[in-house]
Amino acid sequence: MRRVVFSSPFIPPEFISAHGVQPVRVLQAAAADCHQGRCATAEGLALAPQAEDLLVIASSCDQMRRSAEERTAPTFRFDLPVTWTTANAARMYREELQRLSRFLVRHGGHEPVELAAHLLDHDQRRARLRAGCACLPARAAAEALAGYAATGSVPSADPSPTPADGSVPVALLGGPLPPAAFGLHDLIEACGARIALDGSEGGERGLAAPCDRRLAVDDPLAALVDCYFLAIPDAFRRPDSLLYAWLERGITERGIRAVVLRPDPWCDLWRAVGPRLHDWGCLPVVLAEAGEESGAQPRLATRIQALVEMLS
Amino acid sequence: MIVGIDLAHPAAAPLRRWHASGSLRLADLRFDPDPACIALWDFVLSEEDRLRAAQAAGGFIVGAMKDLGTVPVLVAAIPAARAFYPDGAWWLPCLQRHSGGQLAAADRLGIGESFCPVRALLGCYAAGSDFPTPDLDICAVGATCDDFSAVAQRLAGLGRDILWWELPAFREADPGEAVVALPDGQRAPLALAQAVERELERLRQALERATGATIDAAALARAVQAAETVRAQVRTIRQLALAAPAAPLPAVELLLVEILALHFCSDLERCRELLDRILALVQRRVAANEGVLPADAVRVLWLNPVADLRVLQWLEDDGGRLACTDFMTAQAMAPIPMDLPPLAALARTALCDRMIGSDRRRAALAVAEARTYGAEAVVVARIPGASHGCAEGPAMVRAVAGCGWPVAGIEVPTLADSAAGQIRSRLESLMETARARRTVQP
Repeated sequence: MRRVVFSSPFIPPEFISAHGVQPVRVLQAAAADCHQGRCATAEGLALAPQAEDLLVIASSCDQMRRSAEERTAPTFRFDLPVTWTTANAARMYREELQRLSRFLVRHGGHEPVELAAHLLDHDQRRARLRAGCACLPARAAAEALAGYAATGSVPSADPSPTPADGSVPVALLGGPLPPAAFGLHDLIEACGARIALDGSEGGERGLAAPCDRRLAVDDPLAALVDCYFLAIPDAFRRPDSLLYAWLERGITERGIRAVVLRPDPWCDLWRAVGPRLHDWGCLPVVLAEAGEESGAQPRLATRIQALVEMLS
Repeated sequence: MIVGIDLAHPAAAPLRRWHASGSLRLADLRFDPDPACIALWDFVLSEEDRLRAAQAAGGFIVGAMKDLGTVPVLVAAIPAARAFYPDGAWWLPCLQRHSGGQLAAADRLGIGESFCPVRALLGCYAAGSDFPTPDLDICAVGATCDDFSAVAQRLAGLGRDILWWELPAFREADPGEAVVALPDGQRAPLALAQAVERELERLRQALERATGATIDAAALARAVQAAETVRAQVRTIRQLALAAPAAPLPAVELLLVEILALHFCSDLERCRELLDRILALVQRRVAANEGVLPADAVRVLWLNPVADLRVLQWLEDDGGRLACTDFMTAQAMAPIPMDLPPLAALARTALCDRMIGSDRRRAALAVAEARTYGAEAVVVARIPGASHGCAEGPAMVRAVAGCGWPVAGIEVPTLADSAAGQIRSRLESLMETARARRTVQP
């Protein structure tokens, strides 16, 4: 089956699989030393497709939008509206889904079949994933989420709840946390904290909202608009209020006591969230720039240890 | 050859008050001595005073952001309203030689050097300085650069209630998809043009609600006609200036002319009068084959505006001249189709924005235009911190591969003096290479 590679959480894998092609969401980043100004995440996506793969790039930021240009393999640039509070924006997202459908059909897929069934199936998987992740240690939860992104699979059985260990619950916020950087979880835990709210792009922040089952049957595209476009919070959206509403809810429900913000080195969108979080003033914020997990690990560990000491 | 003058020259006397009030960089610049060009400078520098006077008189001030050429046309349909671009604050650190503190204020708001100098506008809003606080902020997002989107969101986080609108990325039509012709000769998917038109209709309604004015089709048509008159003047001046064997206008003055197309410097009538004078000047000089630079100056395609205007004069000092420009203003100079309903026409011109498409498309359009003006070399002026900066140079190199034009990339900070050695070395080297190619083909 032909693979369709993408990275954005706004691309519904169930929509792709309904066309008889295999969705593969990648979270990997390129090596941190890619040339100055170039986003490692955008570069990582550009490098991910193998021969015969189709690539779908969502235009959620400048670098992603422009990285679609130089591709010679079949590439679909999904023009993701930045605004989201208007009927026109929702319509544009819906029309992009329809355009994506035509692209997939042109490149070996078939017309969508049983879209509602695909939608409900993935909705169930995500519900199981959410429930499972709530019981797993942070790194295991991140791995489960990455597994769903890559293959659509979710853990078969609900794990038993992890006993409380007295560590400080923190939220991770930022763009994609590539699997190669999952050591951040270990680093944070070694400092006496744990990521109890994963707001990275591949984390639970990037999961579609639960689906309206009736709407899924009556108008699957409208259901996709609802549970993806109108629900997923992100730094690029204007206004960005969804992000803070999501964060506030998570803080309340999970007793979050600090935020670890992890922008990519050249990402203006996530970098600008930092001062906004400071103004928001709900919680202390630690900046953990992408790449610090390896290169500057002792420095980052010291900062997180200081945070934990302050909160303990 | 007409020699430029400095601020101390009697002909530049009208500009000295701006230097005295803080535009210190004027003392480092050179000016075209013609009274029309001095008036052009004065008109641009006096915009903030006009805006404040208009607001004090009960006028409605709209801060349009990032669309560069579209929203001011809508606003021009409301008699008591004026639009300006807070984006223009990115020149203030240069003009004021960093004495205005805009960038330092942006730093304090957490928007530091990793962002494009447009972050200066945050400082203006925070301090209430430089331009009057608009009664309404309207910001285009979608395919606009991340720097701007982030800066504008930071502004919203400080309490500004921004009206966001979607300016989607330009794309080629899919197979079998209906298309429309754009004023710049390209074709765009009909669906894309319609989406922009719907957004403009939303803005029209929002402006009506905010001002209490009625913006009907007749008012819009008048505004579009007036804007098109300005655009036509700017196009004519630009074409004459770029094509002339001897450059009839200096580079900075040509940049100022292009800027007038964006929002008429918030006074449409005076803008038209001034452009008439500049056009007459250019026509006179072209007819007499008079120039402001040596006739053998290297003809350069210049990509991107420069945060420090002095750098354009370094190009001239080093033996170059503008032969084609992409100062991100192409959409503001595109002819507005008068045979379409006003919003449909505006939507199509908005899609002529080269920044919303790919770097490849932008480079290709610039190169195609530059060929007609006999360009010999290319300068890609990178904007510090700009999220699109890393791809522009390589795209331009690929676009000119078949032309044999040498390309130089320079990064232009808001005050480029400390980088003068490096920048001028690159420009000199580019000029030498281009001159050598006049006689020795690679």
